[in-house]
Amino acid sequence: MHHITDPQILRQAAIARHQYRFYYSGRLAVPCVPSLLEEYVEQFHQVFIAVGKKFSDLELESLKALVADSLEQGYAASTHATLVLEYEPAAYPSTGLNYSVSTAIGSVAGQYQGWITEREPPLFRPYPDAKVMDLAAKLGDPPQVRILEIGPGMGRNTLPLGKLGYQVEALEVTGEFVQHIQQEAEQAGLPIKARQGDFLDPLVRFSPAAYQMVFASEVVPHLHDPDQLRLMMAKVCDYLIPGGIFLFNTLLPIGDYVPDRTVRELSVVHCCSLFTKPEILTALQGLPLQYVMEESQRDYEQAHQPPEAWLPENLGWFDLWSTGGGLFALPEGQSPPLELSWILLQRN
Amino acid sequence: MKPEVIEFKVGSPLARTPAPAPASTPQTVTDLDALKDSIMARFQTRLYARGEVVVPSVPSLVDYYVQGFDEIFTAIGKKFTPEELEVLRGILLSQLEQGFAASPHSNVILRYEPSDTGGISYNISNLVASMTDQYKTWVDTREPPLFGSHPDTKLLEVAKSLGSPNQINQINILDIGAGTGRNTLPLARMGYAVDALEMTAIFAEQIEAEVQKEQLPVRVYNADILSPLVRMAPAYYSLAVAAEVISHFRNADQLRLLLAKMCDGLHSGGLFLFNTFLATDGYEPDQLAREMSEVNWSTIFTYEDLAYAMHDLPLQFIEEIPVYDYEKSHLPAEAWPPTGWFDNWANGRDLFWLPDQKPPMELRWILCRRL
Repeated sequence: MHHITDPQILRQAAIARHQYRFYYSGRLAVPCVPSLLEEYVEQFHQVFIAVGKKFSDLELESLKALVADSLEQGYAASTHATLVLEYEPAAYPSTGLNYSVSTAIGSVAGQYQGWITEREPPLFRPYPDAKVMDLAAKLGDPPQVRILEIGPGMGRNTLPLGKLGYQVEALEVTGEFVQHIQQEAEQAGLPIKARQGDFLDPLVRFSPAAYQMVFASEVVPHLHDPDQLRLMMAKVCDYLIPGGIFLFNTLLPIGDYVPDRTVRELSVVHCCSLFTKPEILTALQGLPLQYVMEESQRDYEQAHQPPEAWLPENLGWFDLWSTGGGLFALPEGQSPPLELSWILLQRN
Repeated sequence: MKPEVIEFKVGSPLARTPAPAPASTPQTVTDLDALKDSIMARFQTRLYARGEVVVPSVPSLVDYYVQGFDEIFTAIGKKFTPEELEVLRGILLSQLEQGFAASPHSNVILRYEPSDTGGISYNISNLVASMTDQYKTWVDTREPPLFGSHPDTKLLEVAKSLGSPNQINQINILDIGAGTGRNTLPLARMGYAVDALEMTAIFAEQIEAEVQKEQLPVRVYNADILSPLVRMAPAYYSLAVAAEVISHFRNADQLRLLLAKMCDGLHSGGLFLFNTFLATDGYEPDQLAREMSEVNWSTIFTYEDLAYAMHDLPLQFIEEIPVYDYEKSHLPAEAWPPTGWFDNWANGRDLFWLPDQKPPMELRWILCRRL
């Protein structure tokens, strides 16, 4: 036996021996984006390497399979799903690592619930959409006009329409927002009915052939896929009277830009779901709805809203979001090929 | 699944009625009958009876069950006091309700055995079995075809009204609760594009195997239409059918959910054909009849239930006809009856055993059009 006496080597050896007394545990949470599987697994592995638990190829494969399953499941279940990886040392005498992969399923309502507790009001822009108000003005005498609003938020459009005398029904997923609208409407004696629910829920139904206008401002960017858009439009057809109109906005890809799978999944997770115009037209196929027109929302609103509406303090997150900045981090002066657009449809 | 068990002990009948201390010098008994009784009373403590009773979880039958259990306990010489029966009833009812809430195919199990004190100890648990469990046993124990060999003739008639499918004219049909493909496969062979939903995995596999073998235009999903995560292509189908499916539903809310989902999946003008047990006008089923109808695979709905389920949905009622009469007159003679159980079941006799009379419910076809 050869005795080592070099203090440097001995120090290293003592530290190496000491490793087994380190107990690292932790939790990593990432949004469920299936196409980021490779990136996520690589990142998790880097963490494991940093705590001294490099995985073998076989171990990496099984981690990857678990993560892939959970990402798919989470993404299918919700636009607000989180993958959670938890790890801790294996029980003595093993020197390995135990880990588990799970998903936490959130919702749009949950997201806004978070806004209420975390953010300073106003949560949304304080001014109504000029396009909504202008279209409503063409529908006739307000007390005779029934309007259905999908996703009113805190009533940015609902309350001004109610003040003009329109009969407005508003469906909102976030309970606190519904209460807010109800209170405001009651105090001012406005003809507004607000209720809580998800428009795509099969059991959420409104009177058939009853409304002159249905609109959804900043709602379509929360949808999961073109099927949900088609479902929304099919249900809107049930509620509109013949000739009634459906207005919504969406971040429309410009020119020939077709987002790839990763960008699409990320857009869904970041509440700026992308639908190309051909996809919108396909989603419309066979429905009794005509595509009337599309136009830049920013251009229209800048031209028709009062100038104060475009002060930075009144725009809030809208400025970044409406130019695609919620999805792409591009250098100053560059913008992605997206245009927030009003899209107008009319029922046959 | 591990049954939930509630243990309960009944005290020894001897301990319950302690012999009063003799007041004076005891008398010697010589009466033969009295002596025989005393021998038997003492002997009861040496009788060791254990047993198990399994009954369907029907909460409305709680008093009927308590009476039956009481008779068993009396017969083994362990008669319960009214207070003990009351405790038993409370435990039993909560297990019946739990089991029934989980599934109408649940059972409640009473187990009893001698206790250390000379009485008996019993426990009551429930064992939940699902519909898919039940069908799995059909596969293991019955001869196919489990649901008959021919497609429903009413369905074929409705499908034909859509026109004939070809390369250019794809006609999409949704078969909910496809079973072993009795309707899916013949429709697909006629050229219709069929999506088949089936909850029982082994049935879904059987359809899939046939689809592969014959290269049919069918997509098979092992799924429950009522699950929130099961989504259909919106405004896509020309016809949806739910044959012998609603008889498994639990309540009118589930029926409404099905109808609402059909409104989402059917395109405008599309048809929905389903069959369900309907109570004859004027008959209002009570709680017992409703619970027992679920247990007997014959969930009963009233016209009031149906009106609630259809309220404000974009569905237009077209027609309603008795399934038994229609299929009997249209199926080829060699295909009648579809199965050994069909006659009694479709005529409501699995719930009401009236062999020579007509029960106040029957299976009926209902056809609706999506507006």
